[in-house]
Amino acid sequence: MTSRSVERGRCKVARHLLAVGLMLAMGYTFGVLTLVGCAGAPWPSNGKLPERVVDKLADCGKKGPTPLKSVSYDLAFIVHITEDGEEARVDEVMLTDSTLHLHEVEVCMTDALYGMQTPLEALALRRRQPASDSTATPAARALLGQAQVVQLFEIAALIVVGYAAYTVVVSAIMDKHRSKPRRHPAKSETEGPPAPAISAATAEPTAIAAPAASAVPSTAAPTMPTTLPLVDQDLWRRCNQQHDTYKKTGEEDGPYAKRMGPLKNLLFNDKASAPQRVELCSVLDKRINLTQREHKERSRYVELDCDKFDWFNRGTTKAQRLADHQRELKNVDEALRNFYALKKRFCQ
Amino acid sequence: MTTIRTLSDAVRDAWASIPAPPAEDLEYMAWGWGEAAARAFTGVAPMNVDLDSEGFVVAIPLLDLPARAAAAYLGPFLLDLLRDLGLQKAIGIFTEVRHRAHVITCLETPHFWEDIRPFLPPKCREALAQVTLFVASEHEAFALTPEQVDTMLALAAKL
Repeated sequence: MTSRSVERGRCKVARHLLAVGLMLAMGYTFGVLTLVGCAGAPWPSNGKLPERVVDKLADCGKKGPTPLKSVSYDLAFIVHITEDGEEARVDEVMLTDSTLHLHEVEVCMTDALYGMQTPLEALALRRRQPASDSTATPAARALLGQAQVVQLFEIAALIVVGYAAYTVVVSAIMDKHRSKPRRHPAKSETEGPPAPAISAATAEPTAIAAPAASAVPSTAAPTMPTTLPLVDQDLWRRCNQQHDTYKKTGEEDGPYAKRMGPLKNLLFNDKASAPQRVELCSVLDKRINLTQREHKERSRYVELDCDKFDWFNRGTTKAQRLADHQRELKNVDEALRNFYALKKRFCQ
Repeated sequence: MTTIRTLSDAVRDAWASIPAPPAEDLEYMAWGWGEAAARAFTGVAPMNVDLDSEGFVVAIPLLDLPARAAAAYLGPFLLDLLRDLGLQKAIGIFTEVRHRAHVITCLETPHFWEDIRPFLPPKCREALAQVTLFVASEHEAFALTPEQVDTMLALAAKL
């Protein structure tokens, strides 16, 4: 465990103790307190959520349970802020953790944080001195894929409604590479048919007409729709991680494939020496091990029901994505079987 | 007589005029297959894709890209499939297991054909049909089942 995560843990405990202490002191009451100073980026000296947003969060809390004894709930949000010219605005809010498990309140609080979207408030958040070395938490990184993100700050607001105390932790993140809002790019089957990924094609086939392409690769990554039910949010995260796992395995193949290129040419032209043939077989072994590993990891992705999500906004149905992936896994199986038989003769 | 060389030439000729798809079609390439893959494809016309680059080798994107980009980049994947078959015929073994499985999956997936068809010029459709017939005829080398062959031939006939 890193010192940073230890610090986070201590702060979480501190927030709990403070919440409980406050409740004991206040009894059955209502109140809001903004806690600052724990973990993450340096805390803004006046670090508070905008009052209007806090009021909305409190209203959301009133929709929650009305326990007869002290109960505390923790909710963690990542607020994604996008720089856009002279302004900064919230373009995405993700609920990353919750002990509440009450969808209505969670969605309500998510919407309340979207309320920071007015330019002046969001700009004020942005101007609160982000640390030069501050980076997103591991959880945020997992959610945002490979995006280059900087954590601006983290604020914890304690909202007390009756005997219920909500500790709402808000991490503000800015991604300098994202230039346009992508509020709900990934859609689940439950959200209705996704928008077509491409403009309508002409009925009569013609040459592929395309405007000049930019040579700058995008670092965009799918983001979790905030309207996903909690259970799907968890699945979305697991699937995103599983995707990253098998993608990394696939990427490991690149250097081996490149190393193999010249050897293949020599063999193809009947100019390879015996040691070069042995080397090719050795590299093939490594590549096949990677293919097998990736195959298992992709199978796990299918087992997890990750085809529920249209990650690429392709507009395909869940059934199509599942069938595609199953077909491809089966074909990898067959290709591997075919390969083993040939390799046995070639590399003996 | 159809050979790997004549088919490869036909694919090159057919896809030669296809420009690089717009960058937004490849928005999720880096997320999907890594930055090397994004670099290998983004802003690169299909016939300029380096088949020996790490980025090309690691990518298997045809079922996930928007149909316009999938139609464009089917070209280099067909070339790679043919080249690897050529190696198999020459030395007795193929090496691109992932790509082989990926292209075969595309060729037997009805919605893939339906999706890309509107974006393929007649020359590309013709070359694709020829390659598909050839792949079917080489079913032993590709270890295809009779069902797979039937599916591919049926889809090629509708092209």
